[in-house]
Amino acid sequence: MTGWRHDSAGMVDRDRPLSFTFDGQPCTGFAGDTLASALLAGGPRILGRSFKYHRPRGLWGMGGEEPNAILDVTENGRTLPNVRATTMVLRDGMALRSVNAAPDAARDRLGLIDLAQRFLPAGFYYKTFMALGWMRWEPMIRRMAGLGVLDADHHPPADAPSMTAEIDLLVIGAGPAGLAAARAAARAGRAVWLVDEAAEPGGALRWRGGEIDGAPWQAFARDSCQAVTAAGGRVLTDTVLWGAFDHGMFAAWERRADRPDRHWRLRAREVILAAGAIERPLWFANNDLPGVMSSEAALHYLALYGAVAGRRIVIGCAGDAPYATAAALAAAGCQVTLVDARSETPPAPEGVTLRRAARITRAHGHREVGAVTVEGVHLDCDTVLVSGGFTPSVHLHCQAGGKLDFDPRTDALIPRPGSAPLLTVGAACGAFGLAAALAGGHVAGGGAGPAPAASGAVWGIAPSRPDPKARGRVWIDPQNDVTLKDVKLAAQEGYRSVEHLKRYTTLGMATDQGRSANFAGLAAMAALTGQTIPETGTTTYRPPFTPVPLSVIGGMRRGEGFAPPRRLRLEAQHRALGARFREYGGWLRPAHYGTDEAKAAQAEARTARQTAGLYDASPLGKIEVLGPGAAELLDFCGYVRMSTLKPGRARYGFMLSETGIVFDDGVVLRLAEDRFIVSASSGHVGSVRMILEEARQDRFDPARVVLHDVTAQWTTLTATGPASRALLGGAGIDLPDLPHMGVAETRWQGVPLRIARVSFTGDASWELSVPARHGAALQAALETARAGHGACWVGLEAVMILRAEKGFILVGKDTDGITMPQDLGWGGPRDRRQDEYFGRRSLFTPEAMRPDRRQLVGLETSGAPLPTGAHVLASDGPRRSAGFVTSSCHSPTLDRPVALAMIEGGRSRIGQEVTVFHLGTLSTARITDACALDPEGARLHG
Amino acid sequence: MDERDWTTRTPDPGATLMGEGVTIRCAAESGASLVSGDLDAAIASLAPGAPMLGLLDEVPEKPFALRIARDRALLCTDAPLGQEGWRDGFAVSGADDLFLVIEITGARRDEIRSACLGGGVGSPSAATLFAGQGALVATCPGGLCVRVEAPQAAALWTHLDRLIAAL
Amino acid sequence: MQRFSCPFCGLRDETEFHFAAEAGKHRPEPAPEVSDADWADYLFGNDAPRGPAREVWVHLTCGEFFVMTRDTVTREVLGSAALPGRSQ
Repeated sequence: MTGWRHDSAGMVDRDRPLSFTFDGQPCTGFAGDTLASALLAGGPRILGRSFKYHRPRGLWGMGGEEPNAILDVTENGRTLPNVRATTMVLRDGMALRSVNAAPDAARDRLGLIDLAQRFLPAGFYYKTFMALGWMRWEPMIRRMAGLGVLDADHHPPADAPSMTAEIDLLVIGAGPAGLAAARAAARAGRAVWLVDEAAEPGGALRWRGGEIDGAPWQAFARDSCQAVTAAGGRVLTDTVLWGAFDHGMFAAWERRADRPDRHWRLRAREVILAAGAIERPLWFANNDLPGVMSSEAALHYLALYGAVAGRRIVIGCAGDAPYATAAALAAAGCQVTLVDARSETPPAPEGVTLRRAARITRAHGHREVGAVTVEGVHLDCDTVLVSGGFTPSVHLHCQAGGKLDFDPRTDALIPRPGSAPLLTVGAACGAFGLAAALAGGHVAGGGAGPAPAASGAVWGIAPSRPDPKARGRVWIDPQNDVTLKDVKLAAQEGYRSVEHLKRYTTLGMATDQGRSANFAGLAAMAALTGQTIPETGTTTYRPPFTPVPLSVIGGMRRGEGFAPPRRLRLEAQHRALGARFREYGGWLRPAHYGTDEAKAAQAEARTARQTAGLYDASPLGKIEVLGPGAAELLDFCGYVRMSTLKPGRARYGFMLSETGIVFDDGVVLRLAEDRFIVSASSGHVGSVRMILEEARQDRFDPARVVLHDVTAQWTTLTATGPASRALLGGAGIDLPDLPHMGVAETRWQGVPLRIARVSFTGDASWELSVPARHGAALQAALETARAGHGACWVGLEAVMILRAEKGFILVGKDTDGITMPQDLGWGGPRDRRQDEYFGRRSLFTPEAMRPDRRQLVGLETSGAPLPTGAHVLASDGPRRSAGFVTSSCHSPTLDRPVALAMIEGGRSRIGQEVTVFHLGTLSTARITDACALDPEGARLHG
Repeated sequence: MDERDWTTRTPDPGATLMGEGVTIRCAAESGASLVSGDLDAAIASLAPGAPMLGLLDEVPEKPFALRIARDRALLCTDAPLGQEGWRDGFAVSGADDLFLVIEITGARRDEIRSACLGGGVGSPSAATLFAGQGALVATCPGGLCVRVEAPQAAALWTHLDRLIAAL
Repeated sequence: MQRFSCPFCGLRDETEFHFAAEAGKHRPEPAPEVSDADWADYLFGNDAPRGPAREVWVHLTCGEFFVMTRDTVTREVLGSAALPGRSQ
């Protein structure tokens, strides 16, 4: 524990101490601390282990760029893995665990791997683990891979709303540049949304301080935010803008303490990017030791939290920025030595020892830093702060398609103006220093009113680079354990493009996305290949800017909210009758009534066949096709012609896709010359309607035919079975004299009633449709008459049995992606029709005309029903599947199993015995006609 | 999946959800018809003078029409018209029970709107996706007036119930 | 969340739309006069241009089929037009 808590600096509440544990060790912090600041001030230094070599790792930075302090956080029994300590607020009772370490960070057993580091350079994965086959090594590697541990019992609630907003001006970042831009724009009357990932506006002002317009910076920040809200804008803090997407959309993650987080989709007429810059490290041997930290981060922790990194501090730099850090740490009572690579520097701050023209070449220590070598001189210390320059945060500019240019003055890649639909200001475009940030932001915001003024020159910077001739192990990417030697190896092996360097060495692929590593990596590769930085280029920037929980993006579309089924109007009535529901074709429908599923389905099917059954057929699609062009449209879109159907009659038909595949089947009712109702399977209504619409608009005259989907307008209840006619009479329904496949429009108790004599069960069957508001009355009337006629309500499981006994297909169950109508025994229209229809040409291709196509047949067995999906073996030649079982159940009427199957050349093989294979077991069956019951259809007229 | 995975029900007319600064009420449609084809002729014949409304337009007293497509609209009336079929140049189908009407009022209704409606203000068609579901969206006194097909109302109702707790 | 423009409804979120086909493909008819190769090309052959492409899309909420010109590389929408004969 080298860090310590200053007794007054910072804004933590020292009257509210908090307790927490780290790897089981008790620690304390204060209200207002982040996990990082509390650990820095009073916790162990070793917070984790690096990904590959399992070297000890300590805190490096202050925000989302943190590569090392990644922890699993348990609170109230729930664990969140891979939390960055720098971005999570400390709460009482939290238990923190290091990741990638066992048993804990301090005593990690796999630390021994580092001794073998010579054999584990970049790319070693591709060269080792080949002997004995990868499968041998994979389980071991998988156990070692990854960082945190998922808590399988922690299911975050699906409660993050996804919000959309259209805004005038979006300002990303509320540091000095962003605040200046927002204030100027608000003063010009624009509605500005100002977004910042920290809990308060101010950016670097919060820890650097400064005077703006002669007053403390807080007044400027407050004034700017007030101007924004007064002009109708909004200030969003704790909100990370994490991605720039197509068509000008930006995504943001708003974190809220006592309410669910929110996902934002923002579209702005204009966007200003003021995202700041991230400090670079320095590169010397063992620069990965715990205790080596970003200098700016050390200032941040002292100023905001009173957390001081150590007592004997060496600061390495080549620019002006760390001078403020040195001054603050010296004033806090630390012993500070500033080591500046430049020979011309600002004066040493009070109490700080300054060495000019000097560089750190090595850090010393076993598990944390204890000394450094500076130009051959050994310096004891407990903390090393480094500043190798600043990398502007250009991610969103690049995600939006923008290009970068290299600015040697600031030693940074900065956005090329005009190359992206957003304007970048402040440190994000290389304008380092308070005055420059304020000026640039003010102009970008429209420049209304006087520009905010501050003193202070632009920061001086001398470029720092990893030295290719340095001795010892020099870390470029601390999280993925990529060293300078790995970059040299990549260049040597021919992986010289920056995209190859990334993938070969994994540099920049860790959770910090190389924030502190990418520039050094590309600079080192540029030096090794003799190219300039712009020539080397950068890797592609992709969202998210920072890790975003999937629960925020997924939002409320989980569980019940993911693919909610449609609900029946009469759901309550079915429940009252004891229905158990299940999803069928996107609707929640009764599977059976009563509790014993297996017995109920059989009993309901038997009763329906012997006496009568009632079921709710409302989900069956009802698409009205109206107009003088209706018949013509249906003739083209359907496989079976409907123009010859007389009003008052119904006809069964198919819709094919243009490839000739059976897409849907169903009955079409003709109510008038210019009025049809197309029924579609409940799961296909939308797509059937779209196929009809496309032909209506793109082939025919849309003024002559229109489509109305009225599926939900009608409640349809079906009565089926020999006693169904009597049952309907008993319910007060006056049945017109309808032939099978007839339809009539009539009235019942003053209410429109449509009756279609259509059968899905093979028995006499009447589909009764009333406007849904009258469905309950119809259901009640049927229910009253039901018992007296020995009828029962039947669920979908029983209906499936009844239709299977008749060989009636379900599209998608008995047919698949290659089934054509002739395979189902419906080759007639193909042979007879002379007119053009959808899919016609596909029915005459060599594939369609193959004699051994799979055809629908029945299968007869004794004993238990065949498993659906069981394969029918080819009778000669090598063992192969000649088809499979598509539907199978026990028939209560026939008291034996019935099955439907698609078998090669099946119809010409009726009567033959075949072998059936399923999961290693063989059995036999006999091919029969698909219809197992009443093939003449006598029962239809019962 | 079976019924135990869905805990909600279709709201009955009159059902209400109350949240901080927002009230959501479900109502039945008094009467409605889908009309397609020559919409001017359809309105002149079935409900003369009924205005044609687009996305987020303010609904007046009935009758009025909510435009769905170039040549399709929902004509909302005080009672079912009882008309079906093709007339001269247009078609009408009864749709009195096709939709449930969900009204969202209160000071925080704009946040509900932000959470449920995508971009696209000022469109001639009132048909859009509301919380991911097809719906007809207009404005009524005090808030939003959303028509969703009855079989999908339970899903939207559940979503709104959870949304007002999360906002 | 991209945005597309329906010729009738205007600018809407991409989730309201669905791709239908490459524009400009004419259905070969009548069937007896169409070779297997021509039919296969109609069904499965697509130019799939790199850059501006003309595509048929459907706006699901209103049901309008229309032609959208879209850059397949930059994903920029270059224009939407009603099917011939559809605009009133």
